[in-house]
Amino acid sequence: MERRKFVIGLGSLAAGGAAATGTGAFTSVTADRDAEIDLEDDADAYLGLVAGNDNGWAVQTAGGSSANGTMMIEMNGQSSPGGGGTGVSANAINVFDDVFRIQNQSNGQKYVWVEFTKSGGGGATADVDIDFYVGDHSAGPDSIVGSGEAAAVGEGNEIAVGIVVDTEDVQNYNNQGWTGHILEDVTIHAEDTDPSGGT
Amino acid sequence: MRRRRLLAALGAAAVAVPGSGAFTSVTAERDAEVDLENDADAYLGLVDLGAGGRSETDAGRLTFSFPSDSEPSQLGLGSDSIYRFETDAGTTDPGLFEVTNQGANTVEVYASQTNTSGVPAISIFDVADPATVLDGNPDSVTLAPGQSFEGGVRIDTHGVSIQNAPYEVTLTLHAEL
Repeated sequence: MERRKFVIGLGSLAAGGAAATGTGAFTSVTADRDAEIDLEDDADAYLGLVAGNDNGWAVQTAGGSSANGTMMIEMNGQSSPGGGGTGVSANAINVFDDVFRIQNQSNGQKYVWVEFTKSGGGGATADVDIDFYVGDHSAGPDSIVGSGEAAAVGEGNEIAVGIVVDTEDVQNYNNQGWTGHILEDVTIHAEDTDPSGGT
Repeated sequence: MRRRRLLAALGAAAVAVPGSGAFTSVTAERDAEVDLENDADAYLGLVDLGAGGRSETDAGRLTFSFPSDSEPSQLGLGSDSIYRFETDAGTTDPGLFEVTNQGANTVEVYASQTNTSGVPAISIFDVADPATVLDGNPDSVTLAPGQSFEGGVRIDTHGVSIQNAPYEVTLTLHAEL
């Protein structure tokens, strides 16, 4: 594998600046220094994002709508699940174990959690419940939505993230005019410290 | 190739990076598009068969009616009986509905009923094998992506009292890995 360097300097400016109150004070300085930062695709980044096993079909990393190496979840007519379906069922609990994996390719344990944005999709957004969870849904889903639900991922480890879309309250699909997406984006957070305050 | 360089300027390189590849936090926003579909187009495809009205798609949802609106209204199911419906009213074409695996994985398909007390017990079967009730305990139909089966409905009225208003029951279809 290729080796990547991460050389970046932060802080010396601030430390030096605190003492600079006598002559020669300045309001601002712009000084150019070299720093090399390699940008990687999601699979090779410190926070790795790759397709899962069970339902990795719903993840695009190249081609489809996303040809730029970043992960995209598509449960719509763009992905090709083989059977030809173009979305999740209304009035149902749609469970997708192991859609994507979050990999800790950094040093030390990370606390990982997600946020997402629901979209109206033309219907009543409140009738759709979405959750992101770790592991098998049948074993009892362990949500990782919100900082309070952060999951610890050890160095070199990964978690399999599933998605459940509960549309049981959508009983009149046609009448509500569902035409667009019911989920728009997901934000993945990884932090050194447990944001829930626990251990 | 995909190797790109971003040259940023930030002070002197005085702060030691603790080992290669550590970070304090990362926030990565990704697109996610999930569409809601009607029964015919969803990953678990459900389509009513026949035009007799025993099976219909109402507001995008597969529903059943026994008797159907096309049948004489005085008809109905007898008590203490087991009925099997393999065709819609007014046809001999097999199947009341069709289940198609429009997803990506091979699934086991069966149906269950949450509340059976005092109401007709409803279950499904594959019309190619009417004797086997697909209740997941243990029987189910295995469908690879793109495969389908034509289903019938079995209704057991034992212990159910006769009433004028129709019984409203909910059948839950399962498709599991």
